[in-house]
Amino acid sequence: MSAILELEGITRLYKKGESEVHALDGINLSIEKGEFTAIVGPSGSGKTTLLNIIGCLDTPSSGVVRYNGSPLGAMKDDERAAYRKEHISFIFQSYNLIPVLTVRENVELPLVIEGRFSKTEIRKKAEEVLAAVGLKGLEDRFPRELSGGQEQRVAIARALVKDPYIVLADEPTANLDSHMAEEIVDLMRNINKSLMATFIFSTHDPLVQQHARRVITIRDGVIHTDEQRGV
Amino acid sequence: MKGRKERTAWSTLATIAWRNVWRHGKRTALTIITMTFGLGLYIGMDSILKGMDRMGLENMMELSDASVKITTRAYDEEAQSFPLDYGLSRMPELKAFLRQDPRVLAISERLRCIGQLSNGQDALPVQLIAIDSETDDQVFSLAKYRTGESLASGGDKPAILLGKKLAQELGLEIGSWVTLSARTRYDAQNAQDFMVAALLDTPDPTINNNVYISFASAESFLDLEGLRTELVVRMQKRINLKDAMKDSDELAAKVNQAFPDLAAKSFGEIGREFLELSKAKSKGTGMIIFIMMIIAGVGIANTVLMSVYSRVREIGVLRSFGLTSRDISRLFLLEGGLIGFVGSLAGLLFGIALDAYFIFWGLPLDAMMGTIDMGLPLGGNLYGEWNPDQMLTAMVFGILVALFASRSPAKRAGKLEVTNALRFV
Repeated sequence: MSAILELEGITRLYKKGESEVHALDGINLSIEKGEFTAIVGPSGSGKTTLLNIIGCLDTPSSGVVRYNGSPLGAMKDDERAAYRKEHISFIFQSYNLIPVLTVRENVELPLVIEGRFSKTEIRKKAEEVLAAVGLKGLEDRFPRELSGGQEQRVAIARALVKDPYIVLADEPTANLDSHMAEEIVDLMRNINKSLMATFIFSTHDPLVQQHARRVITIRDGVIHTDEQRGV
Repeated sequence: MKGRKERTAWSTLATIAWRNVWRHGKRTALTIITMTFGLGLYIGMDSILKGMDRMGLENMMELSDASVKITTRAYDEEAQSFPLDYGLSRMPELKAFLRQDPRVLAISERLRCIGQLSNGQDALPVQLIAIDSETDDQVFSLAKYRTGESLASGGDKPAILLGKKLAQELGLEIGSWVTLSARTRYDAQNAQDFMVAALLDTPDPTINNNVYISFASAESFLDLEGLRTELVVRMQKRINLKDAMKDSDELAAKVNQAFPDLAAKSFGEIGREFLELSKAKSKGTGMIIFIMMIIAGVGIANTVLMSVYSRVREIGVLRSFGLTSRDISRLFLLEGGLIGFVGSLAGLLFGIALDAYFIFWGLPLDAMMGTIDMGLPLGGNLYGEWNPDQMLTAMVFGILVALFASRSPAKRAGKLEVTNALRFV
């Protein structure tokens, strides 16, 4: 399999008063297409910064990120937005659904912004993906009318609706109980297998880590271990 | 196809903006109420001011200055003191010239001077107007507001027509006897007793303080020997005041060209001072509304800014979906614009309701002002006027204020660092 993502010598410095903090310090990493990778490590180890850089939400202080062999550095704001729009999907710990939109409208939103499909196609795709995550019948509810697990399912449906090449998830199960967390990870794993979408997620949860095919441990901005598993 | 998809994206963003506008309903409602009152009152005030302009000019034309008033140039220069030194000559030639214009309906003669009216106990200075009692009613509409006999009815007693306000001040009524004194053409003081034949109660408070006598009485009282200082002309009625002003302006210009020694003035020209005053009032009202709109603008800026800070994470999510910082700014600008649109629309409807009240029921000026004389030719019921141009301007202004006020918070929303906004939690 070919690498969809390559990171070479990635560093990210933050200024904190007079001193500089190395959030990431010389990360070298290659992610294959269709991987189901967990990034683990203690709080402040650099997991979120790494996901931000892969998702083009942040820029590295030095180093190169290659997506399908093309470097992502030196892109303008519009180009970065276009990259996120077309290739990346995000799942957030706090779900971050748009509170004024219904479940269906939340799921349709990435496709509407992408502007590739007609209104009818968007509606069809949203219904398919909502059915896949077990939310059929809840399409017209607002986020405030859902449980935490249902909200995260909507967030997953929203991330998957545009058939992304890469799904980035930061602590996707942190706000869920263990039973619900297991269900969500199972759902992500099934989608990963069926759609061959590349999943990269950060987690603290050992239960969730068990489902990952690859577990990368980060400490103090440096990759500590990189373990392949035959799950 | 691309255009339709872009429309879909914008309709979804507009949905987000619209629902967010009502997410903090009380805050939005307060801003909208401020705009509604600001714009509504502006539209209502504009209607009343337009009504004042029309009423003032109509009163001048109908009650005091006719469509066109002609005097000698020398008289015009000293018109404030109503001199009896500059009589009109070549009257038949001038009248024949005027009658050539088919729009001229009637011509009459007048003369003004200052006098004093006494009831035997008190005396008041008055403006004394000598009229041709046969033709004056063809030029002016004073008959509509007259109670009692016309001066033309030719009673054997010397009679005057008296403004009702003046009559009230001196405790006079129809049939009362008064003493009128004035300087004659040859500057001799003369006094004579007159009977009050009729009272005038017009919508022009100035006229309600005047004294009218017929030329038949004035000839001997003022030693006129045929002296006439004013020729007043009535032109055909036009529905639109602007057309009437245009007609009288044209006729006045024609007279001035043909008779260089005469000063012909249209009622619009005479009313210029009144219109200037009205413009100044309009500016004052505009200023008040401007201040109200600034308050509304601050409200909108605050609403949008609060919205930005309460939705930082949402901004991050939208950025992660691929919206640019420009798109985010536009989204918040749209929210401000929507508040402005709703506020302006509500203001427009409120303004239309106020206009309707002013137009169909009017403002009872006499009841409101009592005995206060503003020195303006206004009285009775003041009716407003529709002014669609101004309504549209007010609405566009409201929306522009809202967009301008939202600009800065919207820009701030666009500039938020996406990682800070999102915090990826």
